[in-house]
Amino acid sequence: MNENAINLKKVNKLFGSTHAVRDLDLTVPKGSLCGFLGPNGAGKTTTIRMIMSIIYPDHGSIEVLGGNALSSKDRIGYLPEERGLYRKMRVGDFLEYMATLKGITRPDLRTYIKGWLKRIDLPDVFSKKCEELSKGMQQKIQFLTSILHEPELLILDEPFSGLDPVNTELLNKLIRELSQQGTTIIFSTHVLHQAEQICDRIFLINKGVKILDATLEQIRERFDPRTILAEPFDDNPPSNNIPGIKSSRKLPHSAAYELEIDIGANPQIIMQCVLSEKPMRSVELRRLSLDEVFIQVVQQDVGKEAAELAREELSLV
Amino acid sequence: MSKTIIIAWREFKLTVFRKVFILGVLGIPVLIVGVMILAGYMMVQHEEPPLVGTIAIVDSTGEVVKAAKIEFDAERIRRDQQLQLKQMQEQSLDAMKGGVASPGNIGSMPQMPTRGDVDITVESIDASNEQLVSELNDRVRVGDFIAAVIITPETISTAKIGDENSGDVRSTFDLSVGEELDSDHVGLIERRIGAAVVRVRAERAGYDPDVAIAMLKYPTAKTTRTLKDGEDASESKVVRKLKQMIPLVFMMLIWMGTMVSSQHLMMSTIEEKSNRVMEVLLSAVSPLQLMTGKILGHGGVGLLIVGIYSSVAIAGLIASSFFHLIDPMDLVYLAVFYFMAYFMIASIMAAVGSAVSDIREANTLVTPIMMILMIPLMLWMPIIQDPNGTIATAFSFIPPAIPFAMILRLAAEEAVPLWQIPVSIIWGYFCVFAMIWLAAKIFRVGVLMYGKPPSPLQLIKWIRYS
Repeated sequence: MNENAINLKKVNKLFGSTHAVRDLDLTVPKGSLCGFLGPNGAGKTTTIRMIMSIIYPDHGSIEVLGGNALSSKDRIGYLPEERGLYRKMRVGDFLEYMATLKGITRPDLRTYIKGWLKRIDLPDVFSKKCEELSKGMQQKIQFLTSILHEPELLILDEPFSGLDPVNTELLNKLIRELSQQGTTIIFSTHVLHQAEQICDRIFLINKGVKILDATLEQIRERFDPRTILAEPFDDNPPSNNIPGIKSSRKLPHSAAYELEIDIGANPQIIMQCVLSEKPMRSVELRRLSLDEVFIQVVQQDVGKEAAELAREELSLV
Repeated sequence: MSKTIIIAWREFKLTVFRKVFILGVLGIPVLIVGVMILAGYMMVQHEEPPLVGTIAIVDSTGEVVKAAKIEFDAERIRRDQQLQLKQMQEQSLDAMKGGVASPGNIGSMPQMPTRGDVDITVESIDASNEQLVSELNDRVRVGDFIAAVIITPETISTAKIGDENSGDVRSTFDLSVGEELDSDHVGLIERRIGAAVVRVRAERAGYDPDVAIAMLKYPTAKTTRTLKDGEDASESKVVRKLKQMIPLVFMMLIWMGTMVSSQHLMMSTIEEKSNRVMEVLLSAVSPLQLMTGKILGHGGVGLLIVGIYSSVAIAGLIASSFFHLIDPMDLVYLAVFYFMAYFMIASIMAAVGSAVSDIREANTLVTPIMMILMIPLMLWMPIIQDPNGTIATAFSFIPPAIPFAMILRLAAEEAVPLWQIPVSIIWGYFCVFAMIWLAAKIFRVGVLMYGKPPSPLQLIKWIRYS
């Protein structure tokens, strides 16, 4: 039995002379909640559209739920980046139409839809026209169209954009619930802290190339800054004599000090030593945020590209 | 239920159950039939005012006055009215059966008989000078007389009869009528005074006046048209005109049904694009399913339009006994070529609708296509006049004119060479598949493209993309 919901192998997509996606390999394990990250124009939406069989790759293979998305559309939920509703259609009719297209045949469909509307805090919109709803409400209706049929795989393209914090939290909660129920979820975003909050796996692409593919734990390990943040009660810095501390520096606009530790040194022991040396307001092992990882990886990627270009130029000379 | 059918049903329902559609498409035939019924009802209900009064005749001989009294006899007028009515009914029936040409009377075409009561007194007036004539006209104006007639010796002269230099014995008489006299009544007075003059002339020439008047009626022509293939056919002008119109009606039915429904198709595609709902739909169905569903749904709309209009036309033909003019096979061809025309134009419209973002952009792409589609409309006359000529034959094989040219030719009288019918149908449907295939390729890319409308070169690139 295939343990992966999505398998992309050496996928390439060109639009004219623009190489939108380049040699992309991607594996989404079943039941995982994956963040698909990348700057604007990185190729996220193109990849998602290829996964959904809305457009096709020029090279490479895509396997979704053991086949292709066309044959499994009813098992996939999709919230596209381009959001839209039939403006003149009533909300209930629209959801009913989309549910029927998604293969729902239950006789109590209208009651089922009303139940879901209640769950997303829109109990009174069933008979309203879509154009009468606010943008946030419309977005929630669109989210509903992607989950009404209880999909095995849910693909969300920028699901939180344009939502207020209350509705963001509501959506967050629903996504986590669906994930706990076993739905495989992949969502793209460029707001990284959202991904950090709920994802257990991250894919990062830039200019159509995958530059990071790991679980959050692996990322934290890999991008461990080997730095301790210590904030003493007095203004004096922690002692440099503690074994394992390479250097220390005061952080600007803060009372804290950043202590860089040696490779191979145990941060737990160093933290205990720092605490025993003098009273401290706080001592913590610094972790890079996803934003910092993102910037670091993208910058490395840009550097690599520049180096490659320079090499090409040199070889030409 | 198949997703394509779900989409098709939604498109059909959404178009047909709109007030605009019901009023615009279904309302028109109802309106036409309603107006016809109303006009007929009003004609039946319309009561002509009675023609009662005195006609003053200035006639120095007194002969025309005497004859006019015979012509204006109430019993005679009633009998003639009934006879005229009967003749008109017979003519109409003959025309419907494709039988005979209209008979007529010398000096005038058959007139609709006046239906009101007629009670006229004829009075002889002596008005030997202009002043008296003027006074007579004043008395007509004030209503003493309903009409005044002045007969001169030349009016009743028979001097020119037999004169080889002038075969024309017509002359004039002056008739003065009041401003408010009904035009039908004026016509009746004119005809009756004319008949009185002929009566006097016949008496003067030694003929029986009644026989002479009866002899003035034209005989009824029974025209036979010899057709090229050796068959004889007897038909009236009405039938000939109808036979010319039937191909045009067939073509217009296809054109109208196709245009209305494919325009709706294009508009709904543009609406889905501009509402940004397209990608939501594509998460549930494939672009091909979406396009096929939309084409089928709007095809149903077109079929409904063609069905309604052709039913009204057929009902009209049956009611007027002209249904025999239609070959049942032509109705089969109507269906075959309607679908061909619709799928061709709908695929073009679907592609255009998917490629643009709003109706203004669509117009720039549709205008050249519409100009091509107008060609069959402009060529209907030359095609009907020479159904097997070069123009007609050429357009029978050039898409998208094939269905329009072929239905014009097939419904026309001249037989189309037998081999051309299956060849044009097979070639036409091959073109349909090719056009749908190309449209699907454009549709697949176009529905997700926003911004500047594509150039023809870009459209070709889109076809290669997918």
